[in-house]
Amino acid sequence: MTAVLTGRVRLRGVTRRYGTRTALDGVDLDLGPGVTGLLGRNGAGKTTLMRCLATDLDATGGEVRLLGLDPSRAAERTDIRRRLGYLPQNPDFYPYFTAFALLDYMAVLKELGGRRARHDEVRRVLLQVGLYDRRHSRVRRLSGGMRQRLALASALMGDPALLLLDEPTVGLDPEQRIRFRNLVSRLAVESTVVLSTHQIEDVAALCGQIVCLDRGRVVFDGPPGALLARARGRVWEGPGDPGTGLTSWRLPDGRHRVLTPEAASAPGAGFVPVEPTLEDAYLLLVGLSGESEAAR
Amino acid sequence: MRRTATFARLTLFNMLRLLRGPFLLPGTALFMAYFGWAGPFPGQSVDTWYADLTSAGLLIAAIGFGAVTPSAVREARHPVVSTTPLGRTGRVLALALAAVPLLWAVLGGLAAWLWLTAGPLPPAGIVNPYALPVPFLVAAAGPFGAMLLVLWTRSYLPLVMLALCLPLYLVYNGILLSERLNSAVSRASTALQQAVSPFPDFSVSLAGVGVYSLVYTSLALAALVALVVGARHRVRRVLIASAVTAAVLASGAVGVAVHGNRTVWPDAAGRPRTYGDDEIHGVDGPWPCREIEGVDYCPLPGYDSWVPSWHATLSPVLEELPGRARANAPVVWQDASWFSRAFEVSGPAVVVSDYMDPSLQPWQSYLYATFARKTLGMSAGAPSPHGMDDCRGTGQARSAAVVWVVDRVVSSHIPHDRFMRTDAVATAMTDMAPSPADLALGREIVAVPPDRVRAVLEEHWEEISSGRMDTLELAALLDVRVPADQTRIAGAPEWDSVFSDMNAGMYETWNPSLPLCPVSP
Repeated sequence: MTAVLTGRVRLRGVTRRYGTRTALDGVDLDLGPGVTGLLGRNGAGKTTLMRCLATDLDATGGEVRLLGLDPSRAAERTDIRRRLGYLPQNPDFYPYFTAFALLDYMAVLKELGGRRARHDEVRRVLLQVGLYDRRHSRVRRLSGGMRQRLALASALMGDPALLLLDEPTVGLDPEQRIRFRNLVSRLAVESTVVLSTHQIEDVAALCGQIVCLDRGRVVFDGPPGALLARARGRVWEGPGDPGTGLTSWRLPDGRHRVLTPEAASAPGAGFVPVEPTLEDAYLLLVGLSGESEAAR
Repeated sequence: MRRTATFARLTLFNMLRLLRGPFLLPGTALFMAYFGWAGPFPGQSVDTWYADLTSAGLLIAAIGFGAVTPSAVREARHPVVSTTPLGRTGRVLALALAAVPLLWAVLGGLAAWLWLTAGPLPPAGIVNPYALPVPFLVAAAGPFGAMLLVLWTRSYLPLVMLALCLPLYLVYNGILLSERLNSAVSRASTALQQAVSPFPDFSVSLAGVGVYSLVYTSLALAALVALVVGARHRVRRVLIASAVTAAVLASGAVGVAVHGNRTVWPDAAGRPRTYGDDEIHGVDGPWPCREIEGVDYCPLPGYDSWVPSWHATLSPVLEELPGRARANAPVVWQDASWFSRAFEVSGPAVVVSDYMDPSLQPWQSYLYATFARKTLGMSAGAPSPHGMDDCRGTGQARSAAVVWVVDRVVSSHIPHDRFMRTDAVATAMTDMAPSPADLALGREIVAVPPDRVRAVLEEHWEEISSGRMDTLELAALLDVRVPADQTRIAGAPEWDSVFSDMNAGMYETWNPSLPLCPVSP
């Protein structure tokens, strides 16, 4: 069993419908150890995909294999869940638990053994997220950022082979965010980590693979370098607003940064090409896929 | 196996949380204080013990309801862990089941305490073992009820409602409320009682009733558990399966209740059901009677230990009468307070029940008067355990004799309590529909020297006990002046006149339509 639980995600033609609305439409994915960033606009299907990966939702169609197992079968789903860490979007904890009791409760549910083993694991993850000193505080007394770290701690328990993090850095201060990145990058040596986020800088700092969803479809799946390569020659800086429907914004020094749909000539006089960032590449990608969808 | 271990660990986790919660231990302490204050009564029977246990089962169910509610809210409103190996059904059941052993421990402790402190051990009566689990199943319904209501409402509303309704019910029992509210609370209370025990004549002794009750309660609880499993479940097939299962189980429970009420309880003629001794658990035939000093005592099965106390109460009556009166002594027949015992005695009988505590003066007086009346032949004929052979002794000398005997026995206990003695005399007469002459003689005879009355009774016992001697003849023998009117039943003014030292309107003839006691040849 251990051989098949070494951390792989394989999706083929996965579809998920809510009534007449299609949230995922023929998604194909192959994820190995390391961090994969899941990007997309609001409503693109990121959370639905995360819930399917977390065995919280069944796919309407297609084939899902997680850690080599089929989550549509009850026994295999249970095996997957034993090796799964899931931080859902907007976790809502029972406010009258202490931080320690909450994690102990989660540890029981995650089958982390007897009392001593559980408590050791709870202490370990509390130290990892920097909440050990607040272990006796009730959840309702914790700040939003602390609750987010508590949720992260619950996802980290048991060294999961598959770690799913849906918007994990919301509410974290910069210091905690750096701490989070270090933690996740260490885990990703052996585990498969899927990070769904709007924080492009987190993706840039952590992810070896990026998956971009738009309207339930995968519009990009590859390394960050490949995404950046697509944007080269399409990012410009120059004086004044070029207008005419291009994506642009004003920089602090008064100049404008402009994204052009095609690698073409400068959008205006004085504009020069600059090295794209991952955010530029993402904006170009979702902007273009959105336009092409609208054109269809 | 691994999931079973997880389920057990989660149950233990929840159990420890419940013990630390704000409801279970304080609620149990209050509950125990209530029972410590209210009981137990010395000399309890197994039926009163079981009645206490049933009430306790309901109260403990309420405690369990309150104790589980916060954790149920946790599951209903903060389900953060939807992707753990143990699914929602396991989590919900582990929570409800965590409370059950705790509640059962409290109820079991209370049962043992009530049993051990009830008086001489073992308490009188026979326990049907099939009835024993019923209060425990009722107690278990509390946590499951809380789970169900909280899962549906996703709020503390059920607990708020319980917190409002429970005091209202207690106030209803103790204080008069407005008629409308009173009626509503009464209906709700009746509905609850019907839901918990839809069977009449419930006794822990009866064999069939215990089995019916156990099956009914088990099915009802299983239906509740099925509803809990499916409550607001995301998976439609689980929702449907649990609803269908609950419907089948609930139909079974209703079917058992209906079947029991239609076929077991009423007798063939539609009269109130009576139970033979062989319908008591483990009893094959009529329970044997026991004779002490010429008096036959027929206790309910398992109540033999009570016979000496009845004899101690009633034998002084015979000691005041001529020795040959023992031949006329009625059978002392015990009826149950929780059901009607089939009457198997021919001839006059005095019926005692477990609520007639012989140590209490009103019951003493009642038993003295009834026993004396029957010994003096005041019986309408067809024997019945329920007073149907009562008759009036208007104008008969034996009415005054009964009054004299009652006063003699009462005054031996409380010679200086004039009020109680007069009350015993007057109360004894209310059952005999006295004439003005009877009233006057009954009041005066207690002042006649006892030896003189005793001598008259000795000499004229046959005439008096047969009813052939009338009141005026006895008055003449005792030199007591009474009104000549001995055929008419005395009215309220005559009662007030004779008992002018008592409150006006306090006494009157209880049942003037009774037949006149027949006169023996």
